[in-house]
Amino acid sequence: MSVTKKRRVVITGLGAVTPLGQRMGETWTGIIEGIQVAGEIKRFDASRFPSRYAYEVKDFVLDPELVTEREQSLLSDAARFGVQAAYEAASQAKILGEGADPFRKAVCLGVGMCSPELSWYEDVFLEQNWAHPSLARHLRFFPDQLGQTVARTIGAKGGVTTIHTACASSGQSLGEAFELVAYGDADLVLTGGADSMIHPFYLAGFSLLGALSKRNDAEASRPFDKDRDGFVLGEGAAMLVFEELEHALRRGVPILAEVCGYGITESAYRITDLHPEGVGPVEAMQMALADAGLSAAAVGYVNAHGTSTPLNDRIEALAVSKVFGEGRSAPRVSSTKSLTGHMISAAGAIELAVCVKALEYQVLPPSINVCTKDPECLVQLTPSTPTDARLDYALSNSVGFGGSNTALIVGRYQA
Amino acid sequence: MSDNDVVITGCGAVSAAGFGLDAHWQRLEQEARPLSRAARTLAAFKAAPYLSDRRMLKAVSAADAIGLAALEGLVKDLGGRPNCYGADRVGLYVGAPPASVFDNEPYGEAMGAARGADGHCDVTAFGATCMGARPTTLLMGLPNNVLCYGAMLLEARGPNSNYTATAVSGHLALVNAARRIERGALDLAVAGGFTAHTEPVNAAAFWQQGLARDDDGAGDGLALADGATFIALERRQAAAARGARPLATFVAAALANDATGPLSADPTGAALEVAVRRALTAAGVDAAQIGLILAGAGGTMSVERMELDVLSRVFAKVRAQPALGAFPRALGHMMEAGGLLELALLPRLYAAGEIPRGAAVSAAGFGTQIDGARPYALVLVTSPWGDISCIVARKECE
Repeated sequence: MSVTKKRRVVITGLGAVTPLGQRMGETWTGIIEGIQVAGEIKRFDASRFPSRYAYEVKDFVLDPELVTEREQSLLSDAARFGVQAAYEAASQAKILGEGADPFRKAVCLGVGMCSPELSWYEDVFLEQNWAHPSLARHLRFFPDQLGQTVARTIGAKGGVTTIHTACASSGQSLGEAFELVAYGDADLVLTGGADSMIHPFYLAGFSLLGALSKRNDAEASRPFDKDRDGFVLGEGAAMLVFEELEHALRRGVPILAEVCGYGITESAYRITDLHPEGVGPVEAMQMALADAGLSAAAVGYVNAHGTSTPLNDRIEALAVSKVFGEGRSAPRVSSTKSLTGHMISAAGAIELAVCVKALEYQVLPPSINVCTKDPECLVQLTPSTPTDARLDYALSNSVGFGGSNTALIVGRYQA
Repeated sequence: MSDNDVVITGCGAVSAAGFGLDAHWQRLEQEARPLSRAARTLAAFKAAPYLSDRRMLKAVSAADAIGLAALEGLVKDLGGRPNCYGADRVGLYVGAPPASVFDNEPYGEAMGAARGADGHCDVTAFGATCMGARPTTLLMGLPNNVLCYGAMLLEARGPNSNYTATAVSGHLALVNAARRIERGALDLAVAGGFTAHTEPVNAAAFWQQGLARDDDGAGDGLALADGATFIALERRQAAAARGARPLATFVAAALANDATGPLSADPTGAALEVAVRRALTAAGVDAAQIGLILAGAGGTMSVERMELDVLSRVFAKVRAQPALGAFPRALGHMMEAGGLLELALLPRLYAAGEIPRGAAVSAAGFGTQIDGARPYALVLVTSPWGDISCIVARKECE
């Protein structure tokens, strides 16, 4: 039932498992209170890696009632975060159980490139034992397992989409979910992302690329600070329920915000670097504004991709200033990666969820760990403490290795 | 037929059958036999001769190389990247496999050097030894490498995506690309997928779960095959303006899933039946107008039986049953690249007037003769884990 005229899309559920907490509410409280949770990696001994700090989800146990025994055996750590977050979002949106047409419900997720533990690789690289029974465990790391489990949980039969465009994965999954509902292909989509790259291989890989901070302190993730030197890994999941407005109104569920516009571009420049003029992100933000039918002045807050790498933050700031200007009327900007770390394929989802909360509470999320703002970053950062503000619209950026750029705009719901 | 139709105007394909449409058609015309892994793998594939810029091979996986070769094949088939389209009006949609275990192989030496007295790799020591590994190791495993390098090759800066939903990934790419054109967001979209699951770990993992056949191609389950297919999509009017001849018209699609959890499928086929009926409705086509069905033949015998049962139910009231075939019979299951070659080969199928020997399916009620007066074809993807896709396409008029 593809339609050419866009339908209104609203958000009716949020869920999150992050280093700040295992519910969306705990995560939001952690962000507003500026709780610093980065620490030395506990999952394995990282003492000899150049970067030893991360934002870990601690003491997480997936509620066993949410999954079958078979699903338990087929889910990675990241997928477990995802199932928990999906359940929270689905509960808030009241979409568990019978009700809506299952073929009008879909699942659309950004899922990371998670990996088995190091010991598992011994069978492969050191022993080359192709008959080892543990090889089947590898299937845990196929992105589809999370999507299929979530679809079973909410009874969605309208298709399972999983997307990987590196750090833009969940920004892109949210955008595609928005379009599925807006253009009539689904009435309701459970969307978001899940990832965990706190693993020796990925710590090594990002270190070899020079992408991680080597400060090794709790304030190492400092987007837009003059002395930033790289990102700090985070992990977790965030899930949202996107729903067609009339569908939500008929069900009588509370509406948290409206999804207004989506922009998606490819930089087609280099695998890890942004174009020096920020061409791809600029076009994505402009596309999102046009899709939403908004002028740049309507946006009051930008949740930046803001990884805390020298290059990303400078170029993203340039891109934001090109789209929104540099004056006092320009929106305030922050990157909540200073509080959650870089959740990679889940980053776009948690950051849009933060925008929804910012709209709900009319508060600008703080910029923490910024001691001296980089003068080359031409944006107005939010203050270091949460600040009341009149917010009608917020924009969330995601930028990924491989060149995909997304921008999503959410607004306060108005009947 | 309308100027606004989304039409397929080119194809690049590579598999163990060869490179390009001719090679694949020849394989389809051969007698079908169980395909051994050797007949399905591209482990020894050398992509360099097919690439315009071989430097991209430095930091990509073996699977990526297959995908990039097929993309280059598409560009060649198009006679070069059509320069009538601006970069922001060209988009790339890719179905990609998850990162392979072997993408991390450059760490093998560092793991060996970090072996402790107990013979196991000591993660503490690995923290130091790993820094001697190849700097681009992480990048090799990125599932979106083909999207990135393909976008550079095509100068495609418009909307894009990279799907990692295994068997339906290629169809997700195609459907989303087509929708972007229908909405006017793109002028040219390239959609496709690539796959390389015959490598030892994935093959063993699927086999251990009872989802894949053994090395000789015997038994129940997927005959995992390596390969890639990319196709170009444009508006009919725009294609005509640049002198391109369409291969087929994309008409409509329906995606669904069983909602039975991971690695399991609903044997009743309820979701597949809904998807097929919805695709026909979306296409505005009656079952009697379907002349050709190319089944997904989703691997396990139970899924294939379910698929045939569903098709029998949907076409029960049709007086002359359509022809039925399945490309995986001849080519193996190309997972993320599945269900695409079928669309590009529609002109040859209709011209031949019958299902090629290698793709023949013996099923009560369905034939092998393709009725040219019924121009619509149904292309299905099914899988042992309940993902479903159904596309309605139309052959071009003579």
